[in-house]
Amino acid sequence: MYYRRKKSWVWLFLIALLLVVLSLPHETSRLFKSAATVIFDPFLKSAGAVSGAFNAFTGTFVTRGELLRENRFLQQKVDALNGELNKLRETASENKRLSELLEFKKRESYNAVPAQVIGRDPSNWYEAIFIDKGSVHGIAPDMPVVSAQGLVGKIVEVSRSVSKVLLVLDKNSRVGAMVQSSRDYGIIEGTSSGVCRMNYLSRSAIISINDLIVSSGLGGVYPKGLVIGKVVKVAIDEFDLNKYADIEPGCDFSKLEEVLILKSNAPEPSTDNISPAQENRTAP
Amino acid sequence: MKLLIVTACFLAAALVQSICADAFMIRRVSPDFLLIAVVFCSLRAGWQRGLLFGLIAGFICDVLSLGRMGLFAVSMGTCGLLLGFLTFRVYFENPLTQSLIALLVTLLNAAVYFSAADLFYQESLWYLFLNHVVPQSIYNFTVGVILFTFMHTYERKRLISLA
Repeated sequence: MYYRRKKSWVWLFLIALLLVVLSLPHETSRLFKSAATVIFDPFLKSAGAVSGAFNAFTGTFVTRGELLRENRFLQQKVDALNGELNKLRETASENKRLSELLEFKKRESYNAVPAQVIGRDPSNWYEAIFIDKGSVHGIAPDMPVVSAQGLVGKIVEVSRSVSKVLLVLDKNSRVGAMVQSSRDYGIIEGTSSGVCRMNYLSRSAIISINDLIVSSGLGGVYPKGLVIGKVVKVAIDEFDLNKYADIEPGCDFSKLEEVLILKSNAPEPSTDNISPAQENRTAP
Repeated sequence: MKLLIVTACFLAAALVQSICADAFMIRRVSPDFLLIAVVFCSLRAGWQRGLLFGLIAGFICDVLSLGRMGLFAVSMGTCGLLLGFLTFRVYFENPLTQSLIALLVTLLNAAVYFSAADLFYQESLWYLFLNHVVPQSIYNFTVGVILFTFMHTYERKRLISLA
């Protein structure tokens, strides 16, 4: 009888604990979660290392013909890029001269910290990845994460040596963006279906299929000019007020292996110029 | 001891799901190995152990996932509890029965999770139900048939060797 009563107390305590955890404020809950993630850090890192080694091993099996084809393609690309680089160098030096002449304020510079993707969100409902860099490497929430193909997302949770990145594909992600060619502004939101949607484009916005979309820098989280993706569809919203566009991200998130975390070199920015309406910083 | 083994199994299932999700992904949906493990363990454990198994699996999922803390513990705890009530009430040795239960539990888990998210955080996730949860339940059923058949064959061989 005594044991049965003791057992019911244990269950009651567990349920009460669960309710307390559920009613914790978001920041406290996130702290609690970061602390708990420390337990799983070594498992995640070692499992990530094993899977990385396996991928590297299986990736070495390529036929000679395939290698030759790739080599020829890359050689052509290098030649084309060399020409473009020379042009860009010329433009950059001209830009520098003119900026100095007009005394333009220098853009914020960033340090890129390389990181490896070691896992994904185990639930099917959130678009997030784990990377092998954490607070010991100077990583903090809200740092932008990019890859060679473009914007990946931002850091939302940090533990000692592992961080979680909210991908731009997630429904909770918001990025201030603009059309590269026409400089029309909008906000990119995830749709959890593999494409993003650029909302709040004005009806007069000049946007067409295959236009490149880059981050606008508004909101203070993402730097200006990061490639987000290409337009695949343009339409007018149901209220007939704004245009919207479906964007195919430049990044192939299913094949993401390495990413760069952008750490700002500048001292802590003041919060005065951050507009929460432009970039929703809340994680789910 | 048994609880430690089950916890290790859950952790392994969560890690496999987290690391190899891409390998199993079909049209942005991957199977839920952790939930399949909960079905397998809780169906044989009775309601108290079932609830405990569900809570442990939920805690692991809560920590690894991006969602709010405690939501998976609630949804998986509920699933574990209900699965525990089914012990000795269904013919759980049959792989097909277990797979069918895995299909239903996937739907239930999502329904409880989405309701709790709505109730506690006013966060509506119901838009995921048709596109993600229903295909995932079918995927879990398919993966379940393979895994449960394998486990069933292994258990039968073990029993024969013991006899």
